Amino acid sequence: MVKVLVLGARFGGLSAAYTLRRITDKNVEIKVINKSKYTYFRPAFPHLAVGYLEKKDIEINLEQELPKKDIEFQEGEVTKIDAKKKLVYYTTNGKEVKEDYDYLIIALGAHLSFEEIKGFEENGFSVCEPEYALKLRERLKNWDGGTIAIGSGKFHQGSNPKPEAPETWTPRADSACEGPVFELSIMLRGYFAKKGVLDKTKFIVFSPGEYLSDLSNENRSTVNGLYKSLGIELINGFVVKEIDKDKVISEDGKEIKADLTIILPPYSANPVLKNSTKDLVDDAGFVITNKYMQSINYPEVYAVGDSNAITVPKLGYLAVMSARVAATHLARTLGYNVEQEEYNPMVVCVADNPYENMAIEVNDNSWYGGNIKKATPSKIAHLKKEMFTKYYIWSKGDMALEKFLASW
Amino acid sequence: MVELSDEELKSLKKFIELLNIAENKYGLISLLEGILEDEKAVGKLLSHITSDEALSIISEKENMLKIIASIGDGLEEQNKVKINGLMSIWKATHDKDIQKGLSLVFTILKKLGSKF
Repeated sequence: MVKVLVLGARFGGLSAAYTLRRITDKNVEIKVINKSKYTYFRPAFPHLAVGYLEKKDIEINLEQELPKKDIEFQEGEVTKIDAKKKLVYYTTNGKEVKEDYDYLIIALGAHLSFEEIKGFEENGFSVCEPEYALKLRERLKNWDGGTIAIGSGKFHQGSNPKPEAPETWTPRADSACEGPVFELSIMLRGYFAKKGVLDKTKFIVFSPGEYLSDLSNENRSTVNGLYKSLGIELINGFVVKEIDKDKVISEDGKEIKADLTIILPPYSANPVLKNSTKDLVDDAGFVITNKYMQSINYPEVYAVGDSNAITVPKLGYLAVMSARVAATHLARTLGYNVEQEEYNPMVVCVADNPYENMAIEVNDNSWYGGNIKKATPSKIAHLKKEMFTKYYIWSKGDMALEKFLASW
Repeated sequence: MVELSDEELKSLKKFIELLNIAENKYGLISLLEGILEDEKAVGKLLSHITSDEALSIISEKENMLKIIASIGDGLEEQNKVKINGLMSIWKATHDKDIQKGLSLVFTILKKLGSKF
């Protein structure tokens, strides 16, 4: 029997495991290892922060759901991959375990480098994990006006060696993904309007490079215009270094006065990968693959989602797409007659404003040389986001129809 | 134990095949399972189905069918009422059915207007 290990159970890991299970028969053993037995619909963390959804609304119990689909689940924290010996090391219940594989799908995500920002733990807020979103919720409950600064940290992107894929797929990015910054900047307006403190609140949005550089010039201009009309101040080229009680400080010493700072942290490669076989990853620690998400030096290893150097920006939509590409390629390698899915990068996301019953739906591939540049605000977009969240939870993350929907 | 005829067994087999495709290709059965487990969503759906709005649409089914049938008939017989100028429109308004139709359209327009 062929044994496939999947490391991680967010968008990339779950999509890869489910897709592979759907294609292959019982002769392929699929096992998912994840540090927690719970996974979440991550794009809804901001909704958690504003009290629109509860944690249980966006949570999936992997230990309970994966075996129902003939996928084994192991709770454990991966510490190292030895690609030469085909071994994965992880700790579970305080014990270190090593496990072999025939094929490996790495879906460990990136590292949220909060430790790079001085004062974050004491003074900063975020929405990148449920705990951070809930901490922010508590802070927002007592909000009675002031200045809010929202921004992202820098992205530690690798450059050498490059993936064996079209160069247009991996543009240089200052930030790993600013979608949540944009979403929060409009979502909080709706939340504060409902609380009756919007007119007492000033918004400042900052970016380490040019804000939303993964979108077309036209869409960026639209956002700039929107911000001007809403009185939101936008500061580009602000690389956050420190968060103080009443200000944010950049690497070059600039300051933004703020009573509350919400940060999407600097993104770096997962430490597990930096600790693994050297020629599996690039100079920053992201896995280097070909266009089928297959490691260049270790063909039995695949990488999907944020841990792969190919996916830029670090986006759920791209994680799922890369997972389908990897799963179909691996299935074909194993002799299954299935159509090979292709990777066609596109920025797809929905910036939701649930308390005002609207959202802005973005479909943009201009960063990769394409000509799709849509950014449409509508009530329908909000409804689509709600339905997509439900679809993820109802299907336990097995979004077989996702490629027909594209409504993130 | 219930005995099934060959024909029934064949149909059952086909049905099971369809269920397999629905699940294995599109994940639809587990999606349905997920929906049914979501008591809040099922409750919302049921309350929408049994809401006054939905029930009044269902109770107006006869009238809806009449409108759909009339449109169908009209499309089939579209040249029966010849309109080629203001005079022919004026003449057409003498027809009792057209008078009833116009009255219906204007009433709907009035109701539509009052909602906005």
